Amino acid sequence: MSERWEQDPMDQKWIEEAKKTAGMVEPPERLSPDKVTEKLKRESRKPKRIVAGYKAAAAVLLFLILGGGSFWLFRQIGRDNAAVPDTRIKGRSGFQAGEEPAEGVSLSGGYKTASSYGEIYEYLKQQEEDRTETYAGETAAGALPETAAPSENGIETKDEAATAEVNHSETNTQVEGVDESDIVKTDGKYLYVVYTGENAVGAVHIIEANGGDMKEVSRTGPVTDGVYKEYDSVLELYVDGDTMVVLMDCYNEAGENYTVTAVYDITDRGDPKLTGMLSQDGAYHSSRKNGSYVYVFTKKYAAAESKENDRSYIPYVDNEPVAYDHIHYPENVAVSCTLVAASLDITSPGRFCDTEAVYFSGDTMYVSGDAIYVAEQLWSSGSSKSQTEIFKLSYKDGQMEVSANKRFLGRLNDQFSLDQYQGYLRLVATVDDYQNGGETNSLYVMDENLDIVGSIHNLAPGEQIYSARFMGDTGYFVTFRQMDPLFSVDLSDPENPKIMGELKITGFSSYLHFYEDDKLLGIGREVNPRTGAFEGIKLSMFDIGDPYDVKELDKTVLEDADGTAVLNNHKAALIDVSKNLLGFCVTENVERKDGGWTEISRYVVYSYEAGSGFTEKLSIELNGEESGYRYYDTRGLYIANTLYLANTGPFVSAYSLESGEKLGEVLLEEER
Amino acid sequence: MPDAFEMSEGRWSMERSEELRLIKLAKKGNVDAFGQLYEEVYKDLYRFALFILKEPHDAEDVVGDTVTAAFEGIRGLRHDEAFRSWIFRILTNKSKRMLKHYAERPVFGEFEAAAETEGMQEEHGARSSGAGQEDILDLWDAFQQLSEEDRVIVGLSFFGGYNSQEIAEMLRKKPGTVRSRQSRALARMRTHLSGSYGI
Repeated sequence: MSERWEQDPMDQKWIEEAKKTAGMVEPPERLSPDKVTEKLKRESRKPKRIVAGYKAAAAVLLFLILGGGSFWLFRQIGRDNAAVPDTRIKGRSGFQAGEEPAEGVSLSGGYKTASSYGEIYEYLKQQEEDRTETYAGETAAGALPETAAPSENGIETKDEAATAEVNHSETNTQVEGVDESDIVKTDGKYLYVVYTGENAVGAVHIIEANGGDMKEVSRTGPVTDGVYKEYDSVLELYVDGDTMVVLMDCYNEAGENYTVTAVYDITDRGDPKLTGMLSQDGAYHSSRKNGSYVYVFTKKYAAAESKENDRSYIPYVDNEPVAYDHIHYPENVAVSCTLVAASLDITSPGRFCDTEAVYFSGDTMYVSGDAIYVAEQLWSSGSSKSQTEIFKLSYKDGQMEVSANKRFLGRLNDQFSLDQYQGYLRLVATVDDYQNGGETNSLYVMDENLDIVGSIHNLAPGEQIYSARFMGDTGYFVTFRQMDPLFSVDLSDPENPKIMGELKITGFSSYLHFYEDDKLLGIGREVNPRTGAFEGIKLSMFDIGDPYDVKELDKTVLEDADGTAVLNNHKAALIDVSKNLLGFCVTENVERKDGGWTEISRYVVYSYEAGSGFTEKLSIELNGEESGYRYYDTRGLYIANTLYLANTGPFVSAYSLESGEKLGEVLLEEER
Repeated sequence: MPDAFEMSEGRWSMERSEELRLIKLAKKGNVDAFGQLYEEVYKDLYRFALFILKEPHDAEDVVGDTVTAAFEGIRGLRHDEAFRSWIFRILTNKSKRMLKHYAERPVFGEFEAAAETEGMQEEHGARSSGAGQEDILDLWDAFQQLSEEDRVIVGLSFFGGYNSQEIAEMLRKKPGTVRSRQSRALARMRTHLSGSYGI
């Protein structure tokens, strides 16, 4: 608090007076809280507004073959979460306008591993001096890059630790064998639910599922003891047998954000015992678990304030600075954000296995079985086309190693736009042409050094990628047309020989999921081809048995539904192909008599049969907007024949998957 | 910054715990919770924009854009960040964009014309005392004497209640640079305002 006015006392007086003068200024009516909230409500309740501008007609599924018999399909969600400005000032290296790589990728100066802490300090110092008029660093919405992680998502993963005999759901992850943390988990007997509640702190509630007759057996809050502990909160968790790993957002005495990974022995579910607690500087970005190793990624801003205060520019892990020979920075590019990657073995959580700090402010994160890819769209690169830099760390058994970093033209939709197979990274990106307007799409195949070995450009001009999914040699992606009357569509290369097929259907899929061997499920929006208006949430089942002739076998449209979190977060989908079960929460906006809008949420469960198509098995209405909760991000889990709904305000509720009958409910708020 | 939550001396009357609760709700999409947070700060947001920009309607637009961006991006607000500083940062960026826009396309607007007239009256000794509007125009005019960057610095300190360290962080400059620019700017304003405020 301190140094209020750091100037002459003689200034202080007039400044106080001048402030009073300024205080006479009243904002116009349009900016009043009432008017503003009214406007926000109007806009957030009428999702159809978003559609204006999309002429939309057919969404297109493109199928391509890559090399010998590979075949792809993709998808993407639009620009919203793709566009995160970078925090770096590209200046002296990287590419400048006019020297863009023709094919997409260019070396970006390369990363250097530090040989001392002083070297890092000098590096940051230098860039601060170079930085005169650049205010890069905030997104348009003011979000810092680490917040821009809505794109953590994956596909169904079979948790390799699924030891329970009872069949139960798993978090819907991207890569089989690579688990992703979430706010709910189940092991077939217990539910593990993070509930943050009104105090914003939260706890993991362990609930004995008991066929729906639930009983809370314990709750575990943040374990930290800092002075700001009331601001600490529980984020997400993993469960592996009798071990629970909880990620927590914490603050030290200086009010700086750090992340704690706490490991518990939950042999006694009623009394979790802390077996290890590891901390790393920075705000939580993402995490993964492979085998018994958990990898936690945080982001921390770095500023060389003073050489003595090394914590301002060197991230700490477990109260020690990251070893300098584990710190990597780009020699010719200024970066003020550190990505801190730390790994631990949950079977011996006394210390981190490995920590690496990279001066890179990545956003989209994709983790394969042996590599971590972080991508960041470059903002002020001076290029006339969108560009992304991608950074790769190899990993195995808790050890990580900086592997490569490269740039390519285009921007990624989300983590599903990336996929690694047999040592190659395949990705699809939408390339915006800032100079002439419009966009095209590119597909790249990169080798283990991230050098491009194959590519296709100019796909679906004028459209952008909304979703993508890869399986072995095959990839799929969905693009969607956006009306932009200022620019003509570039059809110069419409006949790429590598495209296998193109299916034109109405609407578009924002999430793709392989369903049985020769089927692909799409969840997205239906769009009126004439007016471009959204007409509900659409489920499509595609027959991909013949990739040259993909068909939409069946579709169903939830006409009243305006949104579902699945479009932006794969973890919000409950999909179990073997059980033929598809569940998610939809929101509907109902106009009231007084002209306002009320949001209603429903959790729906579908099954799919070839021939008869999608069948709605359950439709559970959740309370409206009472108590300030939105059920948008509700999670469904199942154990045997019971469906559990969590993240529905302070309740976890259970329903029969057969009859839909409500079997029980626990309130997470009351004191036990 | 241990004091990050209270940096804006009295202008933020809400308890931090209440603020955190509202932020949580706003992150879940609750517009009313967002509105309560906004209510605490919107007057300062508008005043900041008004005094550093050239046109009242630009100030209105910039604040309007800021609110929309803030609501859409509220999930990006970190736990350790105060709503007030966060939204001020968004506003600062948007205002800077507007200032850049002016630089490319000179504007001579209504407000400026009014201030100009006011300035002329002052020269002729026709200045009336105490009238709110005139004082406001005078102060606005004093702000306009500064370079765009200095306007932002002084604006953040006046309306945001930030100290030089915090401003330096927001603008990614050295605190020392901010301090020296600020004292220079204040001296300039003082000269321009001489005759008022007991200067």
